[in-house]
Amino acid sequence: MKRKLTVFVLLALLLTLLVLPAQAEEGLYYVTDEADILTDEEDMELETLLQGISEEHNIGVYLVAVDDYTDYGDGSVYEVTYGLYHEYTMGKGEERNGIMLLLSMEQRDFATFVYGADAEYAFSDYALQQLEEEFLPYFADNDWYEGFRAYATTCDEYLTKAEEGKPVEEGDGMIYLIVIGASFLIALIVVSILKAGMKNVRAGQEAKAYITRELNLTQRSDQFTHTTRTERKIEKSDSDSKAHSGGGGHGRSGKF
Amino acid sequence: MAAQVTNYQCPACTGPLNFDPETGKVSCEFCGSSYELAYIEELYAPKEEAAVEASAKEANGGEGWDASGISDDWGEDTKGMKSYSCPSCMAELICDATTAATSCPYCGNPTVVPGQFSGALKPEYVIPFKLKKEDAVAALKKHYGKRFFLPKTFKDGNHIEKIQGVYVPFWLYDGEADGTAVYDATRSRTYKRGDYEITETDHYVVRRSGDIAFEKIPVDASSKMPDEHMDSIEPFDYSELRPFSTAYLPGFLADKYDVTIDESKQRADKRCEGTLESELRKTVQGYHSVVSRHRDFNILRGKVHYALLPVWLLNTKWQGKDFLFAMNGQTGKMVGDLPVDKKKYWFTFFAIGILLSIIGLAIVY
Repeated sequence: MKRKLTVFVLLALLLTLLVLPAQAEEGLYYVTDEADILTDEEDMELETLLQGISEEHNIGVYLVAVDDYTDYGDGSVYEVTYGLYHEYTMGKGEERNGIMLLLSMEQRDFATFVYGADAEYAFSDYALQQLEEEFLPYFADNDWYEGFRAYATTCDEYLTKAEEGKPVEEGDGMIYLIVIGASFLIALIVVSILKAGMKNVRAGQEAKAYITRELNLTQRSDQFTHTTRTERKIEKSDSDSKAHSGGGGHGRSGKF
Repeated sequence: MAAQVTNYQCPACTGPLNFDPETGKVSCEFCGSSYELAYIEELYAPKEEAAVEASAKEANGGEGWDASGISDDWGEDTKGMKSYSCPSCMAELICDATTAATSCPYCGNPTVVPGQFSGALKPEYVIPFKLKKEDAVAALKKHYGKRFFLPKTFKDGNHIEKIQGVYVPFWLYDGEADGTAVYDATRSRTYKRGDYEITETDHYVVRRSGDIAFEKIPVDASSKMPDEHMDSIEPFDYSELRPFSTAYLPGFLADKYDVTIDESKQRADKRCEGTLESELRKTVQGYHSVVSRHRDFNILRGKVHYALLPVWLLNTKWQGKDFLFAMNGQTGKMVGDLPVDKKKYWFTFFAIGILLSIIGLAIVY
């Protein structure tokens, strides 16, 4: 009897160990609202949304809201976010790719942390900065749900771009400006050519039609005088290091 | 008293004679008879001589009656005007002193003023009109047709106010240009060494000298004709130059020159120099950049010829503005600036710009 009880306890423990991570993955991984700033419905909706995005891209997208980040570890809000990510072994795949947004309501501090080569490819420093501009205006108005939704949908957009080989990079805005500028320059050239066709009255500058003896070249000299030399240091492109950074992860922090 | 002008009238019916560009003959508007130029020239030579003499006498104050009490000073307004009597209807014609052929506004008869082309004023050559009024109207329509920015109201509501076939006086300059042009030229090469991009540029002083000859560079000798229009209808085919005869003039307007050879020569010189410069520049090749530094050209002026060349002038008016078109009466080349529909211009600009932006952004996004 005692032996049967021992087997039962061991089986129960084993079952508990098997079930707990599954619960953790479904209940804790994507939305952790310790500060209780979301309604249950909002919590559920965001959980479903983030789970869908994470599974689609195989990169975990997480958000955590706490009352006071100092309750969860020592150091800055960024360091605590970094600690939580590793403490709960978050991320997807062997490289544990993921991005985490943490809000600390007491200090109104936030931090983002990105980990894993694929995640870091999608979320460069510049991309994180652009991401902040999407959700911070909502947090400034205490509109937590819409802020989180903006975070989720923007993460989805950036991950899609990264998968297409076009991650959000610093030059993007400039490229768009160049494309628009070049388009209007071509438009100007086209209308200028068409407009030039409206005028065909010009003063004569030459008299080629009336040449009776072609050019008789009497002197032809090409005298070399000197050589000038200029050197220009080849700048390394910044985008190389951003696109291939990885290992320890990176992130940003600030106030909302 | 002999008339100062000559009406070319049909020997058969006395109807007005006109030069016909299609046949190259002189024909009667009324009975349709046509005559060789040589026949008409011979027929009208005595009349023209009489007209020249009458014109000279008029200039000397006439004869017989004492007209000393009548002032011939018409003041500033009529400076440069001359009066003639139409031999057909005897109407008094007042026209520009440079007019050599016109038509009587009362009876419509073509009128030639032979004195205008006597002595040193006589043109050496004429290129007869090859194209008719209908050709000029058709050419103007074709000129409108291709232009995308032409306002629809200009095209639809535009009426040709006046069409005139004019023999325009031209000076034709023979000459040579010689000289030297100096250029600064460079040839560059770029290569990488370590972290550096190195550009080496070889500098050269390029010198070219040469000479070139021209014959019959045309410069219009009428102050009434816009120079740019006359330059733009070139070139003329000189193989059709004919010795001058007033028999080519009936039916068209004709002016004698009022811009002298000296006043016009700058324009011919400029074109000679421009051509020499362009021909010398063509010989400077194999460089990445060529900048003109200095040039020293001489013009060796040769013979100058006086010719009447055929031009159709068409005047239109739109929104209170005058538009002048000119067509080479020999080759049919039509020139004239057209108005631009500003709304269409900006719409096209933004439409192309926006469309290309959308396509471009879709590609880079």
